[in-house]
Amino acid sequence: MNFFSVIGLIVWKDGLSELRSRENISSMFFFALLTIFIFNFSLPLDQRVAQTLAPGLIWIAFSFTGVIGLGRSFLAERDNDCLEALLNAPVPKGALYLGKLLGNFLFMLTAEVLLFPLFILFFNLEVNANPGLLLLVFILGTLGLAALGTLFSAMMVQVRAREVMFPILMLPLAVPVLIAAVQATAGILQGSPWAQYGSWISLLAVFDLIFIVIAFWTFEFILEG
Amino acid sequence: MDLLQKWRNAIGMTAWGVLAAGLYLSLVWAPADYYQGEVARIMNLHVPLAKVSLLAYFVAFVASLLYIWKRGALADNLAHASVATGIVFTLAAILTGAIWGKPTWNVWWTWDARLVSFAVLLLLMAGYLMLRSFVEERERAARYAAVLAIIGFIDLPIIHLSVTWWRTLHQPASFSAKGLSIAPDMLAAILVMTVGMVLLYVYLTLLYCRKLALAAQLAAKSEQRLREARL
Amino acid sequence: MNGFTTKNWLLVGMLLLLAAGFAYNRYAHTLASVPPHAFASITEGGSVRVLGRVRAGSIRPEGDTLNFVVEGEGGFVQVAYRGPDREAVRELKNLLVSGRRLPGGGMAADAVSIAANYGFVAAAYGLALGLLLAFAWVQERAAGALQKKLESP
Repeated sequence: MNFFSVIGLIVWKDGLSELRSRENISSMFFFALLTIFIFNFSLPLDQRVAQTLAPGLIWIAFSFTGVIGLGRSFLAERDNDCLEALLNAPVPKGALYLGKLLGNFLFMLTAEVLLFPLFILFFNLEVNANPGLLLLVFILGTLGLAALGTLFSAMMVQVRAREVMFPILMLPLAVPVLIAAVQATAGILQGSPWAQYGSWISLLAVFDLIFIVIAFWTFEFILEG
Repeated sequence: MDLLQKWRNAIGMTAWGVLAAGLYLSLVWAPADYYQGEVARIMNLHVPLAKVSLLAYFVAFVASLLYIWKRGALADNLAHASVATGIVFTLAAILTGAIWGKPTWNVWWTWDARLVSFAVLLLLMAGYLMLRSFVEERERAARYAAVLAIIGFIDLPIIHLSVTWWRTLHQPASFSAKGLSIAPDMLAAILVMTVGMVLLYVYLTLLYCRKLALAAQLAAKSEQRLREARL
Repeated sequence: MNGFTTKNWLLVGMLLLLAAGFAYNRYAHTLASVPPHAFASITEGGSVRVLGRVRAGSIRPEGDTLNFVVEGEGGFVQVAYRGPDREAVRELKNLLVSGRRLPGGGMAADAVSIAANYGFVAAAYGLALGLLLAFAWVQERAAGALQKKLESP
């Protein structure tokens, strides 16, 4: 089977089941919404403070979204005993990874795009920012989280205490993504000059590239047996 | 096996001996620092511990690569032992660093690149050991752990870089431990302590490898027994 | 010979205790000090080390002697310091002042140094070495136990 058609098939499969059940996106969305509520109750967020903290809060919410959503990547396969079929299929395992990655990435991004306007609403944020650039940062950051998350999610299928182990393994490794994403988002929301946050966006891109490649090469190794 | 044990014991005794000598040099022989006073002596302990922590993770990284390449039990045991030993050194490094930081900078902790990297190192090592204990099959545990070690090792410099950039935004690099010039007497003491710590690391890793090998032998023996009993 | 025997551990213990002994000895001879309120208990003319804080506004240079007051809880000592580190004497700084008690109160100091935070040093070394020793001991015990189990039928 053609490499790219495998990727397309997996995305189509996951997308279709998601469209029918809307399980993943809705659970991610509502969980992130809940964290926003909790922020409001636990932090003294007047308009000025909210403006300063907003980038960090957004990405905390997105990280929790990632932990919830990505941890469930292979849940459907495991619960329905499809995992063996997937593993034994005569397709390049790297394509499997990329397909899952793309699917996860799209789900997360959808939830984030739905969430962000609500964020602005609840915190009364003033946003005079380039939406294209903001979307770029969301894309690159989400891609980084999804790259790590998809890999570890595949690992966790066979591990005890998977709900706990998944964030423990994934989040320390995601530190550069979080720092860069928050700094870039802050720069864009505050309307700072490109020079101030441009390097963070480059860091995100480089991180994504490095870890997608590494995950691509080691995915087969994780899946065998 | 006997020769290996003799070597291991020899390395162990040498390590403790060198450390005792290093203790004498650090605590008695070298003069107190002009600026920091007695507290600078903690650096003689902290720096070797930190160096050995990174050495331990590097060894685990190389051993993990070897395992992916060759699949030998030896490489896997080495990676596991290196992390199990390394985490003790990492914890000690972080604690001694905090104890040094309080009288020197009046803070127990600060979020600069070096400390964050070490905190993440501790988390990575702990995650590695947890992963190994939570996976039933030995072979699968080895594979997963190898991937984790490799990804973690590659990520560590990226984490250090991103935190360094982040810190230069908020304040200029004022707390640079590198900026401290070390008196030549202290340098000799640090060198001796470093040699001692490396030897100790080697001894402890070999010991842990031995423990893993024994445990594997024991597991194989009891499995053999079970099979015979069933027959 | 399997692993560290009791003899090995005793030797290690002795080496470390020896180093610790030397360290304590040095501490007692060069760093051990009295707080200012205990100064009166030192015999006149005897050598003494006082640990305290330089009182604000008390620094008065007088030729080649630097006069200042070092104080602590419940007491203070008048110091006449003759030595090279005059810049080290600053207001509100914690100092270790070494010298002799003068007849009629006060002391003549020949050395000042930064207050010795020896508690931190001892804590750091004790903690680190304790962790490493404990780890080594536990691993030796575990390996020995596994070995015994393997050899028994």
